[in-house]
Amino acid sequence: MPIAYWLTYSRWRWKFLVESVVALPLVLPPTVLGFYVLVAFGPKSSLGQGYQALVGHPLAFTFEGLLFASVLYSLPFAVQPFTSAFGAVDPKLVEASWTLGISRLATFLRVTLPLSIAGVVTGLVLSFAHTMGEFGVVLMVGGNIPGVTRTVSIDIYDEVQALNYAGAAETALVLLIFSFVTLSIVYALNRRMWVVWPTR
Amino acid sequence: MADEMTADFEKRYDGGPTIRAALRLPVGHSHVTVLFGPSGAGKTTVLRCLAGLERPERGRIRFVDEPWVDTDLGVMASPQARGIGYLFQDYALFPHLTVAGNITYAIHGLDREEQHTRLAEMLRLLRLEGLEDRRPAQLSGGQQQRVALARVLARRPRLLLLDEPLSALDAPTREQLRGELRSVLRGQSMPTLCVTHDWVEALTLADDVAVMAGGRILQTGSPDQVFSKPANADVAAIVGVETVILGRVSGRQDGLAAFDVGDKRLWAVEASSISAFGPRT
Repeated sequence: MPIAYWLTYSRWRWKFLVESVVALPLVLPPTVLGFYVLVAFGPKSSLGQGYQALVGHPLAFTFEGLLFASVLYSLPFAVQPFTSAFGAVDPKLVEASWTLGISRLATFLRVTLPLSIAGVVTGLVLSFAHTMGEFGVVLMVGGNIPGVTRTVSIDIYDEVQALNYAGAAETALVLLIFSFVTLSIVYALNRRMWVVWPTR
Repeated sequence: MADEMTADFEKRYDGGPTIRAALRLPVGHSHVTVLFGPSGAGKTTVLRCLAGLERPERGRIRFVDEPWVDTDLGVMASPQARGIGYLFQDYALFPHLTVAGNITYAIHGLDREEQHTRLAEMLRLLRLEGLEDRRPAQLSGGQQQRVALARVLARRPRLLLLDEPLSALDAPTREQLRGELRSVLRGQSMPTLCVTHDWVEALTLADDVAVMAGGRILQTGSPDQVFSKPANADVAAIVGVETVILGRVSGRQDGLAAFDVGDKRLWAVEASSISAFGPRT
């Protein structure tokens, strides 16, 4: 949300670079992102070393590592709907609040956020659903450790590899229904716009 | 020196004219200064600079002894810190809040009882009783205007800035609200700077008029002075004096002045000898 707020209101001339970085997961193959995250987490990188020194175990192949990678991977699915929703709020309302003596943070909480609630819910639901269904990044960063980093989509892959089609079908159906319900919620909230790919 | 607000600044836009404004407003009592001029003269920019919504490139704005802007010293007070009331042209009411929610928006910090007192006071002052639970979309233009005014007055600002307060209304409503606005402003103890391009509005509301065109303030004075004695042909054209003839005053007698225009002599009633004035006579 802070990234979306900054992207909406910043007049920095190099802002487009940050926008591109946030949108990268949309176009990069998940394995590429996963590879870089894995390298960044590894024992040779300063991030990996710092995390290990702080917590006592490495970041790669743990639930925390998986969480971090998932946040990066699903970032555009949250940031883009947030940004377009914040941008659609009439700037005069924000200015009116400022001239009434209300701080920037309070104005965001009392004006911008309530008026962009549909976009915010869309972003939350989409990023959640997208995280549920991810595969490549999870496999690269999380490994496939049952009970720790095995996700639904990898479970389906494993079942198919083991020729257990019935098990795979069951899990796949659950994921299909879940995705359908999620998207239905999103579209019901935003009847007038094409929200999965918000135009800005 | 009497308490006053002084502003003298320059604001530039890429590709647009440079806006220069020099203003003095008396502070601490009701006094309405009307910034009058055609569309595109830079009036709203002046208002936005005073409100802290725009940053002037050069100059100073000072409220009594409080510096709001001083580009030499790098001072730029935030809109929140200025304690002003800004009425937007299209009112900018919060669509997700009720009338009561809009009016009490800025006085959230006060205790509940004080909030209720102020709300009741504002509803009464602006004749909004019975509309507390409506949303802005369920109000007429005139009602929206009164809610917006109630919202800015509820927090008791030190300076009131009005951007074309009546221009979004239809003619009969405008007519009715003009008088109301005047009496509400007269009842406040703060100065008002009101932007308008409507000379009737300027005459109705103003204690002082500043005429602005092309990004400059051309003349400042009482409505009487500005409308009956425009300083030059530009001001005359802006305030609606339709015929401008250059002449020489050749004599004055019994409240009449004689003008020599070419080989003709014209007689005119001197403005100082009449108590009422007509802007277009």
